[in-house]
Amino acid sequence: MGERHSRSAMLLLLWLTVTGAAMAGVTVELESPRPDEPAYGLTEIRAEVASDDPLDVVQFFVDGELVGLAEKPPFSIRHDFGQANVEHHVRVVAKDILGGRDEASVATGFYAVDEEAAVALFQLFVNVTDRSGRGVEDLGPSDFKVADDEGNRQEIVGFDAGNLPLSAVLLVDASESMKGEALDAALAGVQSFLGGCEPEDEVLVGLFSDRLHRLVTVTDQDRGVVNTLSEVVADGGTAVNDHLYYALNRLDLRLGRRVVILLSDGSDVTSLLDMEQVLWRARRSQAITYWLRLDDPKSGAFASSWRSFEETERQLSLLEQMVQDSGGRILRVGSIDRIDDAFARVIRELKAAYVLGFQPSVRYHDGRWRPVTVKVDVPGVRVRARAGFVDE
Amino acid sequence: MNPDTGREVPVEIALEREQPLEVAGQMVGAALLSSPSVPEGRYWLEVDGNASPNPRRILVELVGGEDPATAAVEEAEAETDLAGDLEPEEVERRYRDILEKLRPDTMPASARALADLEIAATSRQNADRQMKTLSKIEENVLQDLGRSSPGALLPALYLHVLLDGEYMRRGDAWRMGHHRFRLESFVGFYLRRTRSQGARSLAAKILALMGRPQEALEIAPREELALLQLGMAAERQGRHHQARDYFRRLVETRPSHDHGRLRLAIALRRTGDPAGARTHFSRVARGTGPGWTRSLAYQELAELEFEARRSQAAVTLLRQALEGLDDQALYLQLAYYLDQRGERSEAFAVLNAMPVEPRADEAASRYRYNLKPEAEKAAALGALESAVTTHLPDLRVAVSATAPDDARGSR
Repeated sequence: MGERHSRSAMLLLLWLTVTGAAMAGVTVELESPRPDEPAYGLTEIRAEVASDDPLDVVQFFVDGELVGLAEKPPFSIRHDFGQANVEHHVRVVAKDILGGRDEASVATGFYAVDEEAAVALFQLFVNVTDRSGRGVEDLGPSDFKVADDEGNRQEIVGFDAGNLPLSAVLLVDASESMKGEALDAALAGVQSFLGGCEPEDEVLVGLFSDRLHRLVTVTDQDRGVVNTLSEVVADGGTAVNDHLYYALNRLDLRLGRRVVILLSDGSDVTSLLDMEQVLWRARRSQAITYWLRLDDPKSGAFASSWRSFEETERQLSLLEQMVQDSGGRILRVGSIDRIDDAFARVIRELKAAYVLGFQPSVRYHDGRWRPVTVKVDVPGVRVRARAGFVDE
Repeated sequence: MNPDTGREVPVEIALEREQPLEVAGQMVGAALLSSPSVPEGRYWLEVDGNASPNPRRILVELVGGEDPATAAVEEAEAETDLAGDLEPEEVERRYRDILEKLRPDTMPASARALADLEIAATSRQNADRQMKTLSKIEENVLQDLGRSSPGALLPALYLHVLLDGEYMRRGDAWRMGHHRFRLESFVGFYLRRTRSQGARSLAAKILALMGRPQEALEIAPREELALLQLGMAAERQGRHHQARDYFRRLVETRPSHDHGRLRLAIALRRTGDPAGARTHFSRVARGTGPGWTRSLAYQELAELEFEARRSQAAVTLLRQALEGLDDQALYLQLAYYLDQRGERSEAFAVLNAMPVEPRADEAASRYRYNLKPEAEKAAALGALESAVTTHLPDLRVAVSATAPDDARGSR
């Protein structure tokens, strides 16, 4: 018995040796990116792989780090190379199941420039109101002054007085507490918001509780899609943080003025993400957040196995901070019959907002939050704008 | 807790619908305090309701109720011991009748009939006296049955377990509260008549089902539902070491208890034992338990890796989890970690792949974790029901044998 085992082992060893000699059976070539071709942003890395034996895996490396895998054709991934004007080393390794391997690599190029200009442009959505709360119109770029926290004046390089299309995510709480009339009122409010939109505006409506129940894209041609949301039965808890993070990400790929509108009491004892983590993303996003706050401020918070009462209160404070930092605001909605009015007010405000573009005069690239202030050279007006930006 | 003095006042209360109670300026219900020693003032009230699994803290104004001395006089002057002009003999006859007609397929209907009878026999006006009378009637009947055949008590107790659920469905917290005290004494009586290990185990299940896990453990120290309930209660109150000990006992009792093992792992993590937590999380993640427990185990494992600055390992774990699970939280967590690693395009891709329309009954794993252990309660109820079925004939014989003379004669 033992003799048969050792003979099998010898045969296997011999077979592996022969197989090892045929390793050239797998070959890989990099088709994209080409050598010296600059790589920016989301770019495809594509390889051509041929193999005599079944393939095990194709690995993709950028600057020494594994960034993707493929087990079958097409052997391609999409990778975000970022916006830095630098050379990247791309390597692809193909392996078959018998241990055969081959690899190919290229170095991408970069644009040769005499002096690289910092082109980061930050947007500020600015609402200007008079003493009675009415929007102040007819202001021009010279009426605004933007300064960082060290008093450095920022040059305004872009200005718009309300014609930019809107990309909005409306996050509507569909948890247990919204069952019945409350959710109906919320959906009526959504319709009011849509009534104030222009054909080129893009609106996503998400109904969430502890999970995302439904998400629909509303276009000018298909406003009726919102009616399908009334099929949703409100239930479960409220995971505000998770869904705000989701909404901010959805907006990051959009253009124009970006806004998240949250309709909820805000009490979150379920979310996976802490509001601090959402704030981290929000400060890197250019979206404004409005919070239509449904709760009674005199009532206390919730608790759960995940968050104590005190922790829930901290989450609420951070949510308030996030809204303020973004240049949005909190509208208290005392009863469900006022939801409609709140949505209508938000769309009016958004349409009346000025958009300022500025390039920071001094760059630190330290990933820290840099407060900015916006002032208007008109007496007696109130200015609300994003509170800063992250300098990365 | 009194927010003005910072003093905690532990009292049990029962909330009853449609009675006025001012909470934060709104009338929402009434509070019946079981302890008369709480002074008037403003209090934070923690409400553990049925609509939401999460206790809510609300501000209440406690104002003076009925003067105890006046109430005592009124009670003494009450004309009858029971409400609705019911005579004790009539209540006993109807109670025995319900017990005698108990069948496996009519138990919920019998519980409804018993609820109707008890509601007819008691009212808020003379609560203490009427409840005492009712309790005495039922206790006497059960003592008779127990003396005749101890096994007959089990189906009768089971009927009272269902009665608890019936009061819950009717939102009758006041009667439910009184009934639970009564049932506890009935269980004590059952245990005095039957001393077997099996009987102790069944009695402990009943107590656990009635929300008396501490008393259940005094009878059967390894009662699973009670261990789970006590662990969960400790966890919600932030007593993580205590929670860990209960969950550990539960997992030692039944190693296949994935739910208990998940909670043990979370308690270990919260008490500063990440290595121990990791072992249990891994076992749950790779086990065959419910999807929500496996998803949470993966989420926690990934978080441990991420906290230890091993973000690639965290990403790999979550991708592995997504091969078999589709909890939205897994997608969000993975996207966040990729985002933190600067892999924005991958993060977008993950969020785009997130399934949006989950089944209506598919609550998020983290929400499920907060819910009361209904599956475990159903299992305990099922185990109890199996034992009850075999003792139903004993009950019928015992009811017949112990019927009052006039009733027996009329048969």
